[in-house]
Amino acid sequence: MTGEPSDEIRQQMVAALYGELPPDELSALEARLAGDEALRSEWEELQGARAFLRAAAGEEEAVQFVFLDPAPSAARRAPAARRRGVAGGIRERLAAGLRSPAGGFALATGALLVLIAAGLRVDRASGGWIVHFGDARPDPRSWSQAVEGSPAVRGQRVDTSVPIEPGRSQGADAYVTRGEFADYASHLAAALEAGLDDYAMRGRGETVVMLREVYGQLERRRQEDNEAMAEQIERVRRQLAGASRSWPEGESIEPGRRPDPGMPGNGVPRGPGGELGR
Amino acid sequence: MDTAFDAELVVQSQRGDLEAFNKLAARCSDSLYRFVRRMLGNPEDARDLCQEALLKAYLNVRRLRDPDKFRPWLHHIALNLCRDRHRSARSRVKTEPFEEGQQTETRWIEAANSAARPAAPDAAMERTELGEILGRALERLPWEQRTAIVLREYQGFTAPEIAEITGVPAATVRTRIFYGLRALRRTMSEFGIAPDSLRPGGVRS
Repeated sequence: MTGEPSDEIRQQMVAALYGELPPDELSALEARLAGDEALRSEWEELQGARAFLRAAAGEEEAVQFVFLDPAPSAARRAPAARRRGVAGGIRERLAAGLRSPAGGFALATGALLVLIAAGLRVDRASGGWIVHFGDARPDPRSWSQAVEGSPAVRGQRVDTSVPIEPGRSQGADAYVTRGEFADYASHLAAALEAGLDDYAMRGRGETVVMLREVYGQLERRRQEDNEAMAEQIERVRRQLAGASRSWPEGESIEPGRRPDPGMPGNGVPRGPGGELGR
Repeated sequence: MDTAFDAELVVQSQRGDLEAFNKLAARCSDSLYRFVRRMLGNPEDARDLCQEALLKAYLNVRRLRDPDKFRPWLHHIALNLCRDRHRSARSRVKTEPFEEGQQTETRWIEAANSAARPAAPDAAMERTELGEILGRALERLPWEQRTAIVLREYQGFTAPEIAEITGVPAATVRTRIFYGLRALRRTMSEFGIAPDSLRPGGVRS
């Protein structure tokens, strides 16, 4: 060998050193080593280094790693926490929201949201508002008749059995009138539409926050509108029918009888014109 | 090492069987520790790093496509961690005060002198001294050569397997081993260790 062994020889020597060289190549290498003293010296050097590595290895230190639960458990919990952070978190927060006092209202608004998604429409008509699904609008005549012939217009009670809020049941306008309901539905739809637009713009991550904002806006608007509507209704009522009554005209309620569902209270009229008087 | 059994444990681990992975870790931990210990030279660092490597392996075991390659894959993980630790340690050493480095050097010189002294009666002590010299010799080697030699000599991986672990061709691995062994031989001479003095039965005659 003259100078450095070639790359091929280096490969073969290392392979032979660790028993990786095929028999035919090993024979060829042995023949080469026998005829080349410098190469043989190199080979012995490598063998000496290996002997040193083996001799110096010493006692093998036995170390056992117990793969403890905490780390894997944490690892298992991590994906679950991530899942909770997305869908689960929303579910938990919604559930917590629905358990709150405003939960019922939120649930109702959510249901309305579903209705709107399913095609609920609220359109303005000459006699008021029309609530309908899809393009199938109700017959305008029946609607106008209902509005015009409605006892509410004459200051009578309309038995919708849908009280807006407990506080209103204490007053004269104990029930939601058809017009109120239509107005409320219209405002609700408008607010929800605006909310949905915001929701679409802001992305899914803020769903709960957005819904809560919508609920808050709806509640404020509802209260404001109720006040305005109550004033308007009272004005019209006074023009048309005088003092309000809490029951249909021509009927009487026996003393002590429990009110019908949704009725605000029970009582015997003290005289013509109702309990509130003129 | 029963590779087929390891592969079975890997498959079970990939299905989320923690017990199977614990068995796998128990079967590999000794060997892994020795590898890391030789690469880093520090037992405490080696223990920490082994745990880190096993945890990484557990978290990523589903990514392992060939269950038969668990051991090379685990060594690949450990080697990457070792490399990071080695680099950060090297950067720390550069900022150490001169005196500390001098002390370290003194300690190693003492080890070298003791190794060069006539054979002590206690073979275990001699082996310990040789082990210290080996540690020093490995530390002197370039990182790639040290990796190739430790993986081949002590971990029993073949050149193609080391190639897979380190991401270089098998020919490059053999070349690194060749030059690494040659460098080790020079270190032996430096410490006065003659190859003839190394006997399979004893450390030195």
